[in-house]
Amino acid sequence: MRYLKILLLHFEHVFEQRLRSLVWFVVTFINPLVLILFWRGALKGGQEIVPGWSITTIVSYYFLVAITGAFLVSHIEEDIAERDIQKGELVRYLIKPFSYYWIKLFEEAPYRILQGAYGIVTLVIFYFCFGGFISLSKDPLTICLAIVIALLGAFISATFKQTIGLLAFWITDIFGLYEVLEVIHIVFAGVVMPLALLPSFVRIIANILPFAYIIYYPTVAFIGQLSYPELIRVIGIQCVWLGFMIIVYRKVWNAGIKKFTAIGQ
Amino acid sequence: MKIKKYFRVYKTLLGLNLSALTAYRGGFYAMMASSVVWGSFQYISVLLLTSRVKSIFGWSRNELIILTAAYSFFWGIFHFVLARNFSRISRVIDYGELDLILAKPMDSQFLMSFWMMNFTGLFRTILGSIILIYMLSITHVIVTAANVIGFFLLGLCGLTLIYSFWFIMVTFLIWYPRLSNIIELLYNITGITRYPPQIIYEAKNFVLFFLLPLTLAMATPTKVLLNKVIYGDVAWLLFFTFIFFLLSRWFWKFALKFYTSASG
Repeated sequence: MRYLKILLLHFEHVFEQRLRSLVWFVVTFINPLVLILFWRGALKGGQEIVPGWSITTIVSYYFLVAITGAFLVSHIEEDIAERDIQKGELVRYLIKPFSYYWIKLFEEAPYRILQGAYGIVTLVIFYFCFGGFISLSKDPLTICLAIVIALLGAFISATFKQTIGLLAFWITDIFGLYEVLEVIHIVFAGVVMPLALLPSFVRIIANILPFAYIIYYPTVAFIGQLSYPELIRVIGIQCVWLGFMIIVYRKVWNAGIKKFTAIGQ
Repeated sequence: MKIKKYFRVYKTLLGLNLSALTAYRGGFYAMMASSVVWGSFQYISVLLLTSRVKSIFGWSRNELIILTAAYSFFWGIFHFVLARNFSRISRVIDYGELDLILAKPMDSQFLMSFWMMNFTGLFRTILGSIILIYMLSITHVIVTAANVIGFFLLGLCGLTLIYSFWFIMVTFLIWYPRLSNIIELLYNITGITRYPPQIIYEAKNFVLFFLLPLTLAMATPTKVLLNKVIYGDVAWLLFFTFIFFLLSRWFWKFALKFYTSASG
């Protein structure tokens, strides 16, 4: 209940800056749009590039990547590193009877919900205007499992980004590290292109790393590219990644908090 | 005489920025890492995208890599000279600091555009030039002095076009100072200059046509280098550069009438 209050309070703040959130959504939408235009040129003859990947699937894929990107990918790391740790504002969280992890999660959730809502509105408009170019799964069980995959993806992203933010306990200038991780994330999460179209060695690496389980798998699950056993397998791997990340987060938090001086860096 | 004064001021700003660079070396290394990483990412993405297709809209894989290298070359210059100033504009307007700039006996657009420099952008230019030379040598393209001069001149036109487009967009911050993330949007939109203009022509969507001038910015100089230039492209690029630049100047002066100096 108390976390719900935090969520609602932050909703007020987010709605105050709804135009800013809209701009962030458009930011996540531009690159997939350009890539859709690229593939339209590349697949002019209407052929499938690999079995199951026609222009319709690719358009649907990039469209959903924009939405899942807005909905699921957390951007809390800079806030944690710069505001809380480097400026010392973490102290005001430490004196409250809440878990820092959950507060940060609920602080960020309204941004994700609002941007995701912009995405869904865009999808609905696009679906009615250009329905032929969008193909989504219509199987209720697949959609339910896809929602589970999306939620797990959101938790993996939030835990990973919070852990990265906590590294500011040790690294004063963390900006370079963020940029490196951002590029790795974009390549291996399937933002540049679907994993199925990547060269095989890149695909293998992408399947080992956690990033594909944040964007690629939730997206292909909604398109209906995964069978039931594959959906279950993805959920299993996501649970393993989430468990591993929670352990790492706790270790980093426990070690980092001992270094925190509350006077900023 | 007036131009001389501006050059003198720019020289002073260059010196001040160099001093700042030596004072904040940690920030410099972080920015350098960022510049190299994003520069490399552009090549990685074009290599991945073309791993499944031989060509798009008549541009072969090697030509697309050359286009990316040309983009990287000029984009590095943009980062060096201009990019940081755009990030600063929202802060200047939001905190009511624009008063100090308007009070100076110089053109306010000049001071807003050239105050800060980012030397790490030059790493991207160096990376772009190395890849450009390598790709031109392996594709056996005959490059004459005229091609090189045309490439530089049209590239500078392209940069002026991008600069003008950015300046028009950030001028809206006079009315919406909190919308500082518009800069991120501009970075994303400008990414389209890495692709051939045909992706916009062929989309045949009027909503996207506002992006067409931007796609000419880097593709036209690259075509000059590859001996594929169509004079219509050059004419359009010059036309759009001229119009956008005039528009950016007019719009900035118009927007200043609405600046309240009360900060955000």
